[in-house]
Amino acid sequence: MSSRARQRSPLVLIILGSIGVVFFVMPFIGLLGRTPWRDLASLLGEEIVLDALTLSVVTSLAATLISALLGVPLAWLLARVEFPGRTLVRGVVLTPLVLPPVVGGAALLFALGRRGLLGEPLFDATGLVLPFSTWGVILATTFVAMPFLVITVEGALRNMDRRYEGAAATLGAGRWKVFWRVTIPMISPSLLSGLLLAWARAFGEFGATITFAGNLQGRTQTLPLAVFVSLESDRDVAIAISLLMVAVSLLVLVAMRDRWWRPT
Amino acid sequence: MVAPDMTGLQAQFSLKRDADYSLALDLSIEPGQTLALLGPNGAGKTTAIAAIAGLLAIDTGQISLSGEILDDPDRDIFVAPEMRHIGVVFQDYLLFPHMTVAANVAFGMEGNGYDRAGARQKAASYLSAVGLDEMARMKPAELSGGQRQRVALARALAAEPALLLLDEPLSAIDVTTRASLRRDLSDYLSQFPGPRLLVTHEPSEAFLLADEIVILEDGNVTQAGSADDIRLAPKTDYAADVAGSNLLRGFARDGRVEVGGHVLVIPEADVSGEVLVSFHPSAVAVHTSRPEGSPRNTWATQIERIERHRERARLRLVTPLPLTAEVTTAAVEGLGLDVGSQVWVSVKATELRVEAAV
Repeated sequence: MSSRARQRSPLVLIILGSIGVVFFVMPFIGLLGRTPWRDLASLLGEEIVLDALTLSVVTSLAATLISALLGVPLAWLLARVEFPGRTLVRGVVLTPLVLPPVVGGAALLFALGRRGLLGEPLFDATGLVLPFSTWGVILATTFVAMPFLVITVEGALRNMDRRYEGAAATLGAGRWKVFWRVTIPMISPSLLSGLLLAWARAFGEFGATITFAGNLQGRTQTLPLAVFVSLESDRDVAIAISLLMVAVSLLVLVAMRDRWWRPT
Repeated sequence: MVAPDMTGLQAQFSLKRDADYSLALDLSIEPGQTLALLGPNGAGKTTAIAAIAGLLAIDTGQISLSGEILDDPDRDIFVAPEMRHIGVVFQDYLLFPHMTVAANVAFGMEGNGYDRAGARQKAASYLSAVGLDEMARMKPAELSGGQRQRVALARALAAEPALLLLDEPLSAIDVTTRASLRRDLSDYLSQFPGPRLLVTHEPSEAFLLADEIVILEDGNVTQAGSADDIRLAPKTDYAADVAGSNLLRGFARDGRVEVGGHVLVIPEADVSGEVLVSFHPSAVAVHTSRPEGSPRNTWATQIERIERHRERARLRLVTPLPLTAEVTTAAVEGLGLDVGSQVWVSVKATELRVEAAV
């Protein structure tokens, strides 16, 4: 067989692969083709958009922060501490990755709703109602987003050369100093990647949010929910918000280009 | 727990890593003394360092430094590595990649009587002591192997340890610069007042840098002593190999040793039983014909290999005894020796060292 013959790719693969590319590109072309460019600025300035944008920014950042606060220690436990049922715990933590978000939202409602397992005593004690509140949005998005951070950070902790931590210990560093000055900086690329993944997931969350927190403008209506509502009432607003979210997604992709789509 | 009459490092312990591997070590090092732990790869040298530094717990025995017990499972004592004041230069240095050179060196000083600024200042003086002031702001990845080694040494010394452990400090160094770095290392070591433990698989490093050598094979100490002790009387094949000596195992009776069917005459008549016979390669005389007067330990053999090192040549002889003979290269040319040459060899009985095999 000549080398030219061996280099030629099978035609079937080329055709199917190309259809795949078209499949991904087509929706964006459709979106851009329908965009009312001239009115875009005023559409984005409408109250429903501004409310949703503010809410989305606040809740997605809060969800990311909570994910970091709980997710990093959780990842550390899963990666470093041998305890009975560790595999099970990991499975439970990662369930939201594959669970339909609506089911996650429903489950949260049964647990933390006003008549829920934890929600009822919480309400009786504090008068706090989580569902249909901004806190509910944060809770629902954290539930869906945190596993991304946990899985990324756990992998990094496992792959890290732990001898650096030993070296730090011989230099007199206690566990806390080792964690902050050696472990965290050495996994920081993965940590950053996990934070961005979690944030992007929280920013785009729909199913769990609408199920657990509802769809109240200014309180629980995030950008994806606003798109959904606007499609029924004002299509141009829906397109404007969609375009905004595409732009944000592209920014995330560009920020992480070295880690996620490093060209070979 | 303090026993004030003890100084230096005492380490007598064993630990089992898994079913196939365990380490038993017994060594002590006085302040100002350098001990080399010499052994082939996989002998357990790095494990020994980890145990002494407190990165691994021992199973039995005791480790103490300057009279303070650091690890003693019987008494339920285990001092955490960060409390041991033991400086380690790791095999691949393990410089923190995200910190500058100066921050690496300052790391062990923070919280050790220095604030961050004070630590940086002191780090600069340690860096200039190893001639690296200009590299202070660089990241470890930007340095050469030799520079990294010196940063690792400066980092370990800057934490003002009571004991210095060096794990193969020269193995990652280019062969061409190794000799000069070894000289530098020797200088730095001599300035460190505490005990120093050097782990190496390179005999020349052990012989040149250490006052005393402990040979570790398969997790066990097979010999301990000065370089001369080991050169003159190696106890194992490995020790003989690193010291360049011939080592034969045989059975002694009435001033003779039988080695693999061949009989050697030895000076001591009163030794009997299993013995180790050692002699230096230069004690083997090589002749092209049966030597005049025929010394008693004379036999015919064949040259299997010739290795030349400058003006010396080592001949590998196989039958009837596996031996190394050392002659001058002038003698190789003069006698017309080549691989396959039939030669006569003789060894004076007085050159043979014989000791009971343990």
